[in-house]
Amino acid sequence: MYAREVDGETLTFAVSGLLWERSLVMIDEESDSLWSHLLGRCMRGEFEGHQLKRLPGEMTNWKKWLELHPKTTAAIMKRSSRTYRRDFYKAPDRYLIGCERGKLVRAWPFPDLVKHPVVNDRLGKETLLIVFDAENFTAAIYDRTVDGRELTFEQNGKTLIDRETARRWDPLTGKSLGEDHPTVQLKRLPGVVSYTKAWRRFFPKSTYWRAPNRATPKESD
Amino acid sequence: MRFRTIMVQRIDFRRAITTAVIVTIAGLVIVVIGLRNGVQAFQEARTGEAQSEPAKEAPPLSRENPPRPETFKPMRVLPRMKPITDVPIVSSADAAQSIDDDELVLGITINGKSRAYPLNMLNGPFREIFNDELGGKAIAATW
Repeated sequence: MYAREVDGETLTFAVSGLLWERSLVMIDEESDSLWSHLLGRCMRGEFEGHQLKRLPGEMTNWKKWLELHPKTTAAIMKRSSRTYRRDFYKAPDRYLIGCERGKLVRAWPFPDLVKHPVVNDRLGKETLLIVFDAENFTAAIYDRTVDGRELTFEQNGKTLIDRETARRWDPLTGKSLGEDHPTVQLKRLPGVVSYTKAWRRFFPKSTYWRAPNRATPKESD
Repeated sequence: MRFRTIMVQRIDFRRAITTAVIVTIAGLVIVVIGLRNGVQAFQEARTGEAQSEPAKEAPPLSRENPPRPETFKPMRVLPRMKPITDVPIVSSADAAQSIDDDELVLGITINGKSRAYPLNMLNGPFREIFNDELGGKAIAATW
């Protein structure tokens, strides 16, 4: 999901019919420049070197999306596939959620998030919170610094709780819960749900977060 | 003499039609095979799990060879498509008639406005990218 505005100009994107490294190449109607679909970067043409702004789109199922956003609209066309259903993720090791912040790139593989669904991470100077809803296979990335204060989140039943202010939070909307505090919204950061193999190819300098081994200490005899 | 001329013309006419039909069919077969291969290449590209090796001339991307304009060696597999700019947008109540609960959607919220793009409708080489507007912003819905 990208913003179509580049240097104050609104571009219109189409499928170029070209593939590069087994991935889609987009073309814009205004300048005929070629853009890598996964990188969002112009590889050839007038806009060469420009980076499209990634927007925090999220992948989830329709039921969950409608529950979170009852007033949503939807883009409806005739189906061109039937692949994308809940059982799409039956092999979670093929997927990850990745995030590019400046020159730093990191990915959180789905199998690790299944084991460890709340991750307090850091990428450069940015403080990140990655949450994963294994029931709906929905991942989200937030900035966990709120009003200049870095928060550390833990799972608390179906909600999150932060250690510093003891507020409860909804993991999928990023909103604080409870009557005794004004509602605060965590800033959502653009994450990309991607195929692991494609991510490895296009972001060869990406680092990968791994779930810590929950080695249960051996009980002494 | 006149009769023979007519015969010759007739034979030529038939031959011409036969040749034209054969050429057209062969052409169509080539186009269909080409498109099928192209579409297949696109679908394999989607998953990043194509069985075939990438083109030999370009070294594969790696830590030493990260994606840069000089390593950009695209291959044509399909003709250029027209952009999609006029996607029908419906309310959540109407959408619920067309989308199943367990279908995956790509969702986005901008300035308080939310929109869902069902992946089963935003898929395949002919509609991989929707040029849309939401909450006053021009967006490219694509995954």
